[in-house]
Amino acid sequence: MAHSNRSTEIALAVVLTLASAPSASAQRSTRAPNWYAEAAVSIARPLVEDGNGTTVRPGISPVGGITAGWLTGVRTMVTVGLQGGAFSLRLEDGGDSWNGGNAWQVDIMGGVEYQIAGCAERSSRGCTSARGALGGTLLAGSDDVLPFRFGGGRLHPAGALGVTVRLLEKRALSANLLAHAFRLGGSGADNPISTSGTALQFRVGGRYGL
Amino acid sequence: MAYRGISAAALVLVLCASCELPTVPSESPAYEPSLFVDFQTRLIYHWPLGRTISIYTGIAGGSADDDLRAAILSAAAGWNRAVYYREFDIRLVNSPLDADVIFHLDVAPPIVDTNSCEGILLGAGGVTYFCVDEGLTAILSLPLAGSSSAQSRVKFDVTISSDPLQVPTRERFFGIVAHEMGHVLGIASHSSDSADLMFTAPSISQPSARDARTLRWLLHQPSDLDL
Repeated sequence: MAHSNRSTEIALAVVLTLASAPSASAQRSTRAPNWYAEAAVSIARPLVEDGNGTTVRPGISPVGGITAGWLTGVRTMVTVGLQGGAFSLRLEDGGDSWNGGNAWQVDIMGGVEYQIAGCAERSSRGCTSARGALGGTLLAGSDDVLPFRFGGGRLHPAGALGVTVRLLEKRALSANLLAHAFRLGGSGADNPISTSGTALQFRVGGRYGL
Repeated sequence: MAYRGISAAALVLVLCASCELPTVPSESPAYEPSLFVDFQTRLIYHWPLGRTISIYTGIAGGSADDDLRAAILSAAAGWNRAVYYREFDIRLVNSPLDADVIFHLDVAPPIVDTNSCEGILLGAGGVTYFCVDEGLTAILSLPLAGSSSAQSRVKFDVTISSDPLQVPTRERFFGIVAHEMGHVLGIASHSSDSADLMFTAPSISQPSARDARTLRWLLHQPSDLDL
């Protein structure tokens, strides 16, 4: 657990340092952030697999959040974002399926976006940027279901990777495709998830400049 | 440039998607939990996963009824802590018509007719009674006393002894109720380790780690008997 939290702290520190220390070119850019509202639908891989047969599977869920972005170069923007969502859990074993209650997730992520195609101007329609981010995912849910049974509500190291494609020139509306992953398990003698692994969510949605 | 960027992103996504999932290792039972029908036939039974099991407590009168209800709730909490995925929930109901299981003291009037079949008895200061069909495919509903089985959904009748020689302390009483609930949940056999709740004469009132491991394994085996 201590190791896991330490990794998250280091990841956050690196990202926030990047965000707070813009390059020389950024000195010429505006220091006020651009604000974006984001909304997406998340489709996830199972959260946990149990060797006895149970799979903990998150349902398709809405995710929303807000991101602040600082232009640090012609093609580069450094971002800090907060996203949250709620999802239901299905528990499956062979042909059986039963309700695992609801879970909540908050992501605190810092990252970088870099224009990779179609960006004659930042506002060009079709301008495509690659996104990468590091940070932490806070996960909470029913305390009678793994992974929340033993010390749920922890901050898990997280990373995200994806692309953003500008849809309109006159309005800052973009489509997002993002893979968000976080590490779970292996963090304590009591925790039966002794083999840590990666929970992965694919998010499809939009982003609007405020 | 763009092509390379997208290709790299796609590659990372594919690698990430093939990452190992967070995993709980498989377990084996600490002791044999099957129902021994004969030397060649061992059967597993348990409730459908995710099921709420409704329990009605028979009325003997006095504080014993409150003790029985408290012991059932304590046992339910203990067995619930043993599992990881809310495989079952247990609630008390006010009518035997709504009950899947009857718990009662031996001095309380009978609620189900236990002469309707040659039942199977499992016990330790208490007795868990149930009936299996001839084809060994299902646990049958027990008819309520004075009515037909069609009106009943009761599958288990649990009798707890009120004999102070068998149940000398409140702790022992709670242990017997929790032990019988273990039979109701599917642990048909007894542990040979005296430190386990499912030992023939339990000295504890909550499932041990070995009891918990055995139940977790059992609940994810195919049930031979429909419930």
